[in-house]
Amino acid sequence: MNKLVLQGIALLLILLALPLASLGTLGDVMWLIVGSLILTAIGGLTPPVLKFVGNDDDDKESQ
Amino acid sequence: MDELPVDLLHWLIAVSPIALLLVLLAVLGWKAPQAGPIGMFLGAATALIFFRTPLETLAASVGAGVWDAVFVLLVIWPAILLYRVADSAGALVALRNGIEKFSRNKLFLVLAFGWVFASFLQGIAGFGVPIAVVAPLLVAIGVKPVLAVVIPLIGHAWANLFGTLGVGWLATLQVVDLEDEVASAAQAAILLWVVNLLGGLMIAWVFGRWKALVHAIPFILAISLIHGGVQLGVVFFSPVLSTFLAGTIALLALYPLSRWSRYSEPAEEVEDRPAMAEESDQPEDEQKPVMSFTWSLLPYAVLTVSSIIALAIPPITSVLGAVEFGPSFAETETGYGVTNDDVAPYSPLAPFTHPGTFLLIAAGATWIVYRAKGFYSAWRDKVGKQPIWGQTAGDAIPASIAIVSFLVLAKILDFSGQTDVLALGIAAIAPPLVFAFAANFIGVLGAFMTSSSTASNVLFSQLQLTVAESEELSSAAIIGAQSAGGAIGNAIAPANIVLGTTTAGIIGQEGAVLRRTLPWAGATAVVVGAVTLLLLMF
Repeated sequence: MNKLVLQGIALLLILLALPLASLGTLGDVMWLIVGSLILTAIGGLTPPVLKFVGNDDDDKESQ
Repeated sequence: MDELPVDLLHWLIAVSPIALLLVLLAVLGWKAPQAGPIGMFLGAATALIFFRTPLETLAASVGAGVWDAVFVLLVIWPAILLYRVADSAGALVALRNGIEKFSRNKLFLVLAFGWVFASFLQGIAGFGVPIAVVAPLLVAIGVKPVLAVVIPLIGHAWANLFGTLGVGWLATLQVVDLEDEVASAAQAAILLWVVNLLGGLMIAWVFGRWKALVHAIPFILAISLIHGGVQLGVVFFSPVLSTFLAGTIALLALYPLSRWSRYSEPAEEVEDRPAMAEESDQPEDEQKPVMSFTWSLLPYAVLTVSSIIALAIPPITSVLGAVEFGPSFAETETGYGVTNDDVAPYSPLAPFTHPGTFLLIAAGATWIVYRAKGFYSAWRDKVGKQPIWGQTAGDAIPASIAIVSFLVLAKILDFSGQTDVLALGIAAIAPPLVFAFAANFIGVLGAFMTSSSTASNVLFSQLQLTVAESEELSSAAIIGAQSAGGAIGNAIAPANIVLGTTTAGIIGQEGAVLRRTLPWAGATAVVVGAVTLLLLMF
């Protein structure tokens, strides 16, 4: 699976955290609350993980 | 329940996610999509471990931050689409060729786009639209990509409070009860004039150092007189229209200024031009454009006209703005008694008055017209296939992750009370005049954290007012300083930087941009602090 697709999935996971967080806090439903945090964590971890394990050839800045 | 701990240890803990972000971006050169999530995780960790933030509060802050980010994503995706729609038909090449016939003075053009046009756009549309639109235009006229992002970041900053038809100012009035609104608006306008002038001077300096500064001084003084003077004058009658009018009049003033031979002919005396790409960097085999200069202006004309119709005509704005929606969150609290009220809806989005809608309209209208005129096929025959949607997603996805993580971090720090600790800590140790000097720095911090001067004012205005009253300082001057700081902070706001690097085609070079805007922001904040002291004395 290429890097862009993985990043796209990561973004979708983080966006999905929004309705879970909203419903979870309104209804005080712990599994929704925890679910929203897990989705955010997985989505948020993806880019740094890709940096270290992927082929991030364009890591160096150009001036 | 213990009170929120405002001590050195907790202050250092609260500032650590922001400090880490700065180090990752500006020192280690990490890309924003990688640095942002790391900062977010550290902010969540400090909230949970040191600020007694329960999971419910953390989840609510994540949800609120994601929703705040949606506002910005609704700009960035259409902005990138607009850029790709135009570029795939060769419009930017036609634009550059046409502009060079209008004026052959590159310094004039850089100031015209990076300062005057960016300020005009900020007058009508916020959420980073000026940076997203102007950065690729500057690249098209030969500015180095990093500086093509730096220039509009600095150039548009002054217009953030009363721009977007006064949204930032109106939001400030919602959160604080000002004794004298007119005096506060006027003092903010005076301080923003300083930001405006320093912005114009900095852009000339970036272009070509002292010789460029000398060459551009008449232009800068004339435009700054219009920007700052009109804004200050109109603010007494209608703060919400002040920046829009100032930006519009300055844009119109470009024409007579361009007829002056000083600015219609190349600035030969400015030999050293570090802002411009070398002539040899321009593709030698660049094809002749397939459209006229007039057609290349279509996307920007549609954007401007649709924005003005929808946002500057009150009855239309009222109808379009009636449709709005947003998520709801329950009240949350931390172990230190930091309460976040329940909101239904939270920060409602009005889709028909959101700047992203006008960008989308501009992109759609441009695509239809360019396709009908045959520009896409003609340009494809010359330079090869130019995919629009694939490139748009490729640029926007990494930028979106960065923006979401920055704004989630901002909300985590807010909901957990860490933001309050940062501001209260500064206020606690500063004697009155030192606090007055530092007030705009708090505004800068808020805008850096949230990538929004409006959000900075919403976060810190009440705190600034409370401290001003307890220290017997003029509330008008302190709120003015907070507002000016929030505006300055837009030049270093991570989400704005990401917007610019994405549309300029240099995603990953956020650190390079930040290393150039940070010194300007710091120096401008020092000057604004000094002027704030003068305002207090007189």
